[in-house]
Amino acid sequence: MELGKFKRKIVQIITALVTNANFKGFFEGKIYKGSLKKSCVPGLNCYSCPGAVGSCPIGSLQAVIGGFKYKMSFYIVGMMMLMGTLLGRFICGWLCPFGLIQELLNKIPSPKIKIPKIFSYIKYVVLIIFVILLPIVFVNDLGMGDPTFCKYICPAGTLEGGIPLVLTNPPLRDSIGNLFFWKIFLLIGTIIMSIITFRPFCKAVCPLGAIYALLNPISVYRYEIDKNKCISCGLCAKTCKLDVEVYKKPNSLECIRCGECISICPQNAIERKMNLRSK
Amino acid sequence: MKKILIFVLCITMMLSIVGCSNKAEEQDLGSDDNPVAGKVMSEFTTKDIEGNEVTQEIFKDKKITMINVWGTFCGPCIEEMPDLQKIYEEYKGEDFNLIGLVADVELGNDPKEATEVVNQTGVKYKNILVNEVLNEEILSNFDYVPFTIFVNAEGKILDTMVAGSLSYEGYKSKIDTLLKNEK
Repeated sequence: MELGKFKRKIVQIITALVTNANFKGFFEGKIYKGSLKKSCVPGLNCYSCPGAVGSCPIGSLQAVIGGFKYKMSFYIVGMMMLMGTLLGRFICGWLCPFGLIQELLNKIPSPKIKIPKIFSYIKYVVLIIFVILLPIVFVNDLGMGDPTFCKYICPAGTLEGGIPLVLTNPPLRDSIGNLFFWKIFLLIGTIIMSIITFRPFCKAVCPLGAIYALLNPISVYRYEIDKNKCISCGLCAKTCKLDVEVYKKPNSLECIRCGECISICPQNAIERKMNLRSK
Repeated sequence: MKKILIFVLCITMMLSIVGCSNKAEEQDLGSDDNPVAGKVMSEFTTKDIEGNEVTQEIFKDKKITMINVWGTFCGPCIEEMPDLQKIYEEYKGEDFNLIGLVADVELGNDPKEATEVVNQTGVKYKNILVNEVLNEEILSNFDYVPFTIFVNAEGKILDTMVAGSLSYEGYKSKIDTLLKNEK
């Protein structure tokens, strides 16, 4: 493994450990419920993971939208906007534990496929319909909706929260039913897809990725192409696991800032920048 | 590569354990593994959402008191409350009482959301607020709502419990068994 990739893996592993530092929770089957949970972690990491020390931004957003006290969580939206405008999808590439899990799965040798570009639009539909609209539209008499994404879709929740809690909590084990099997089915699907294609959940489904994607082109952290150096050889596009044509669109919605294009560029034409305005 | 294989193996193992243990559980509906079973409730003084004082004395009058723990943020909890009200009505004449415990309203805080839920769902049974004792002895042992526990006249928590919500019939059969078995 070359240095750039190695550095990213280390950051990913450290973030995953720090995000889930309540290790004793895994043995006791208990969730940490202290004051850190009032804040969100940048990546998609389930609140109900026994190790989690922070909340999931999407889960929190859903909980507030679906609750009857408030209509919208400006606090969570604000945090996501702040993190997104600072770092964009750098968060996906470096700070998201579920991204790390998918990448590790992808290392398993198997025939690899590429998923069509059109699939990358699904995540915006998931964001609008499952995260925002359904919890607002389908409500009980008190105006409370289900956290539809968390409940019916999110495989990260099944892996990090559902399975560990069910394994360690006999009364919960008694209460599992079809919903649990549906979520296990989705998780197995996600695992298989992750083995044969790179980060399928991030590319196609993740609503948090969708929010950061929209902020990616305007975020402070960005890539720039030095037009004087670039020879448009297309090596960057070829090496990109997310099928971004980096030399044409360095701040594409899909770029997770893994930096592999930077390492491969023979001209060193791609630069990491921290600035408010592109030149 | 080894690490990844181990990781995949772990997931496979976890999944198979879940699959197997579920089957085992279906055959053995008797064991509930209630984390608070056998505990005798300490003395406590709290209030219901209308502001009336409630103490451990509330258990004394009836052979079985069912405590349904719910939260104002919790859809499934609120959904089953009309059913619970039906249960309450039906067992009124028997040696049985039902109370609610509002998990997210501490004693001293304004219970206006809880009141709104109670009014909306038509619930007539008592709903009490959380104080230190109730938090320490009941709530801190659970990570989820709703759940339901049963207490006898001495304030002892019984083995039977319900994790999550249950159907009207499901509650009825649990209560009937308890009323029959508890001397």
